[in-house]
Amino acid sequence: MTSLTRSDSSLRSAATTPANGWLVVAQQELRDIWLSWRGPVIVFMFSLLLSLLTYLAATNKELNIIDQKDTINLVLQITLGIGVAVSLLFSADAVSGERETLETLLLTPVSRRQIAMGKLLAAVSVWPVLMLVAVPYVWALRAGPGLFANAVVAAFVVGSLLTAAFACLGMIVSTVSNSNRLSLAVSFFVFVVLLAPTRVPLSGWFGDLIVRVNPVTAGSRFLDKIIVSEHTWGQEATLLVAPILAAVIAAAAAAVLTGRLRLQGGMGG
Amino acid sequence: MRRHLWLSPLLTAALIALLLAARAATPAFAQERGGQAFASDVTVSVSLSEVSALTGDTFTFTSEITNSGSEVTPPLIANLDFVALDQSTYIDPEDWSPQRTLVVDPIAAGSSATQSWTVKPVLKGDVAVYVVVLPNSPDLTTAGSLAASAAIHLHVEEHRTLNPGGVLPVVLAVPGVLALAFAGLRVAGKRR
Repeated sequence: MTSLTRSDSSLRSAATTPANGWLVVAQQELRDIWLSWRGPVIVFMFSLLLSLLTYLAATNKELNIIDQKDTINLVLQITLGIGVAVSLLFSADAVSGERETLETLLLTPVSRRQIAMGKLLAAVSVWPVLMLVAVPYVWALRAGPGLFANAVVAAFVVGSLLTAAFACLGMIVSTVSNSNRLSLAVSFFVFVVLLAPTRVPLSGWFGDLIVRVNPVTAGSRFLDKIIVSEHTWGQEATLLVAPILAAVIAAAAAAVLTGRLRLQGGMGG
Repeated sequence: MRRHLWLSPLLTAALIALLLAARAATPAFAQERGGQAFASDVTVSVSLSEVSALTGDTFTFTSEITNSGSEVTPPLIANLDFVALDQSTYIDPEDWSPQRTLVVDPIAAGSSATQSWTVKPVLKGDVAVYVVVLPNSPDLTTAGSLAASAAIHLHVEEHRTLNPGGVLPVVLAVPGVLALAFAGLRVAGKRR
């Protein structure tokens, strides 16, 4: 049995691992998502949902009396929720869903971390596309050019942070899961648990704590304050702390754990 | 007991006298608190009597509060109210007018003050719109301290449009463009 010492392994890695291996993986994964039915159907269905919502908001007698700011907030919160959920599901499926074909990929001279990074980038590619699709609807519902720009930028920033955090979480779960079903279930369960408090009226110091600690509620509250209450970013900057920390911690954990990617689930040595 | 029956007419007469004295004293008491005098001295009129509108339309009208008394009024509160005449229209007043309460400065004797109101009917139906004025003081419990205008009869018809708020082009175009773009992408991918 041949074994490499640490220095040999480093030499081999440096000599044979292409620096842009992640790019090759990402391109292949992007093709899988966007040239198959998965990405296009999701984006098309999302646009139909926003069309229905926008039309109802403008015509329905009851909804018509909702302030335009609330309608814009609703559209962007839905965009954020769907964008994060789809990225999470794509990343949770990225490794555990390809256990049968993973062997071939692991034999290529691309490091495990680069493989994971390429798959992660493809998984999060859904988010900017959904955000781009939402922009015309927000424009149609806008209450003023200032609010439009502020709302879109705020949603993009919060959504990018949450998408990064949840996609990394999905990748970690996918890496350690043997079963694709388990990976999807665990990832989606975590997402729902963190999303649920946004639909619950939270008050008091404990409610405020949950809002600020949970990255999803913090991001959602940030959008509320910026779009509906028209607060400045400086006034509500503390609400961005949880999403930023979640993104950084999840990315660091993913960088460490995906380096131990194995053909079977679990953690490699 | 029968010995004192002769006292009954006397007691009855005393009771009636007491009641009459109390009733005579009430206006003075109320006047001190600005009650009856307020209601009789302050009148409210509105600039419209009937309005026909479509849902989502906006119209404005004015109300005029006149002090016909001999003394200056206390600070006043004017409030815009809505009552559904057909019993079936649900009215949430906040949806019908962005500002329903105005504080009016004291009005000198013989003078008047004008207020402007904006109404946006959001549901079809027949609605009475009127303005109520009351003193902005702690004496709100005094009976008769409100002055109300005549009601404006508002008839609202439902406004139907295929392009509400101009959103129809976006609502149709975005899914259409996406469908074409993705179809093109798929064809291009297959050709490669």
